[in-house]
Amino acid sequence: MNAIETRGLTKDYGMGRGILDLDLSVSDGEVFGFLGPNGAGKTTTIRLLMGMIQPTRGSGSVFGLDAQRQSVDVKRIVGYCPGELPQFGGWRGDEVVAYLAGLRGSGSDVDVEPIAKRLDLDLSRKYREYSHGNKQKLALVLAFMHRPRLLILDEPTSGLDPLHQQAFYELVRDARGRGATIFLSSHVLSEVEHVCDRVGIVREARLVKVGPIDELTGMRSHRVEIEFADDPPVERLRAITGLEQLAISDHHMTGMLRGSFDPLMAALAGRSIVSFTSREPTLEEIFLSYYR
Amino acid sequence: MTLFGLALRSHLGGFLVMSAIGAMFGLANTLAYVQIAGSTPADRAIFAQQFEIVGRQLSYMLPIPLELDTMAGYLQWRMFGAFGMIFAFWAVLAGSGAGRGDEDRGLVETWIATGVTRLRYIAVRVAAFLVVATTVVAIMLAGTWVGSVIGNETLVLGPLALQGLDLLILTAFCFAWSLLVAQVATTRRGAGFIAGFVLLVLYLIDGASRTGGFEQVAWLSPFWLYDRSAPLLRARVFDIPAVAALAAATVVDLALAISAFAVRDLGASLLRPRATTGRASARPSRDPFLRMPVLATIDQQRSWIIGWMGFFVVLAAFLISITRTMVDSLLSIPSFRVYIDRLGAIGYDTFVSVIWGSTALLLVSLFAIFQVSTWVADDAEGRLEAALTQPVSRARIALDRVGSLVLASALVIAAGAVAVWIASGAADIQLSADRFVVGTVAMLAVPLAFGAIGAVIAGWRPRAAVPVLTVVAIASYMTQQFAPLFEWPKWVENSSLYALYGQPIAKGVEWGGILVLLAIGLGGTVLGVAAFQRRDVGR
Repeated sequence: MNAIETRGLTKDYGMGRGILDLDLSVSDGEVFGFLGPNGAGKTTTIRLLMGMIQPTRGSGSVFGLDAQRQSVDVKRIVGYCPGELPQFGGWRGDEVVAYLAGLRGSGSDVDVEPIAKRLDLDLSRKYREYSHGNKQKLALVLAFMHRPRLLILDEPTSGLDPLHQQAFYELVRDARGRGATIFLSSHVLSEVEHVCDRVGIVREARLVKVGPIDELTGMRSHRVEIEFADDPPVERLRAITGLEQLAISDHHMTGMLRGSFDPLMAALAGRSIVSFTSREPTLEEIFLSYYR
Repeated sequence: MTLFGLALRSHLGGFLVMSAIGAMFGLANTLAYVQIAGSTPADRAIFAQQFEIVGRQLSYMLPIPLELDTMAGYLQWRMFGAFGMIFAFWAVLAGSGAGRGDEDRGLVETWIATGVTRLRYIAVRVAAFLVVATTVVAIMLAGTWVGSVIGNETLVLGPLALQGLDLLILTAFCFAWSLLVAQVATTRRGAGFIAGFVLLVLYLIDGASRTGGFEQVAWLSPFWLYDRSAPLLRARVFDIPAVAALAAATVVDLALAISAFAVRDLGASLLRPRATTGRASARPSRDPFLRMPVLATIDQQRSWIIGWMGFFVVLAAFLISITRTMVDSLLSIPSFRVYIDRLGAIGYDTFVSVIWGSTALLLVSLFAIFQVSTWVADDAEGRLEAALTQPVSRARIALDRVGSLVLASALVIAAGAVAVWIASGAADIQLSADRFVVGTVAMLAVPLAFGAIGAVIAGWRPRAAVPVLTVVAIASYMTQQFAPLFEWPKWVENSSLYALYGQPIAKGVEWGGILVLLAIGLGGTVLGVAAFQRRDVGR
């Protein structure tokens, strides 16, 4: 049985907003990355699966349970970290945990203390005194505290410093180790690459690509900028397979390199280089290069 | 949208409600005056004599009535006397919202981050409120003037405008005061409660000063300064020093509020608490109530509810303390017995029953509307979504809300009722135990009905819930007040939630009305649950 299954799931807000005709399957025990730029439809999909909003058409299920009609049963086995954090004002962190654990039922907060310690979160402080990162940590505590069978995490590392991002990755690995399925929404490519087995890419309310992480790596590319001491080897550069969006002016060259750096390095052999910059492209740049 | 535009929009709800109240009260009072005062000089003289006596007994709430043989005199007493407190209440809500509410929601930080200076930000918020308040007062004056024209007793515009100016300055003062308090409070609710409580004390001081109490300090009360002017009377009294003092106090409060806002940390009080020294904790709270249905909400709101309970106790003690004086005065006037009989209050006990029953009913309705406003805030600020991510049904959440509203209302009503009972005993006023208990318990049907109507609206369009309930409360009050005067059909009178409650403490329970209230409460709750099932939740 798949952990998540959607058939034609649609929430149409008009003007191409929402999520349209989503057919998606996430296997039990899988770590699935749901990638896309802001406003692409990631959060809408998650909120449909959580039963927060009603679909325009289509259906979604979690471990065979209908996300709308059986949403209470769904939430019993799901841990959810929202993308937009609630405001608990003057509540203390430990009161927020106790209140929400109370709604979930007895024994649902067994892991609060170890998780809060791993994330270095002081629950005795008032919520309004928390930094954005600490609020995010509290959201993670609430998502992980009852050892859920499925974790739905909407941009979970937003606001976390690198140290606590690592702590989060350890939590994900531990959850996976005990057999949990993880559905991770993000717009950070490296994060998804770090923890996911398979990814889906959503753009402009539609799922445009689903595949294993290796395939994503295959489509990875780099934005390259080179400044030469003299004229660039134009013909050799143009002959490189995988070097796209090539722009050359005077001693300057920019382009998007897909795949290995070896052909580029070979083309540059014997040339005097003033500067060489390579960076991971933004997701939007990948979309522009891959889906043109 | 510009900052000014957003500031104006933040007052939209208050603008609509207050404009409606102002225009409706203006129209209703002018038209009611023609109905109840008669048209001949003889009728007017009798009316004036009777109501001036009544009005003097109500001097703890309203100014001393004068010239009630004219519509202008009646409005000066009945309408503009009451408007001081009504507009002050609105200004407290608006001031605490502008001074702390937007900050709670992170809006202030966002604006400051765009390069808007703090001075400009708060100046724009103040300016927007003044524009809105001026418009509301103008609409109220227009409604009143139109009513006077329809009633063939057209008011002179100049004095009417001066009365509006007096009211506007009082409103501005209360806004400025709330804005100042918001600089030292840490939440909007706290700011509103502190500012409102202080103004209530100042209001009572003004009331007491009319019968010789607190005369030395009465000038401290903005309501005392407001009452100095009565431009609608034949003497056209407009106390420029009093109005100027109120305006100066407004400017001082604004200056202090702006200065405090300029130097304090965003999101913090001007009075900085000492750094916390407690030990860090990684465990959930051990408070057992937080894990219980209904009680979790009560537990979260404990300070707020205790504040209301205290307010009800103080109010009960105050009402009992004035009962003997008022009843003795009223019963000493033979011609007044007819009026008193119509009220159903002919002795100390029945007077206590009437005045407590009606006052507590209005206040507990207000409390219910406040509770519904917290549901709307839960929705807008993501707490509802957080609760719904747990394995609980929407029906459970909706029932939890109504249940906690009823329980909180019960606590508040019980505190007041116990205070009334003890204070009555101490004052040697014997209340009918049966009627008092049954009437007090039956009072719960009113907040239940308000909560259920709130649940229906919140289950459909959350942001509309508070405005709709406010309209229901105002319409219920006005219908109850005016239906007997205009001899409207019984079914119109019974459309008032307050009329349905009746006067069970004074006259015994009218079960038909109570059952209708319960039906509204239970039916509305069921409808609210159904509406909530299908609604999209989230910001």
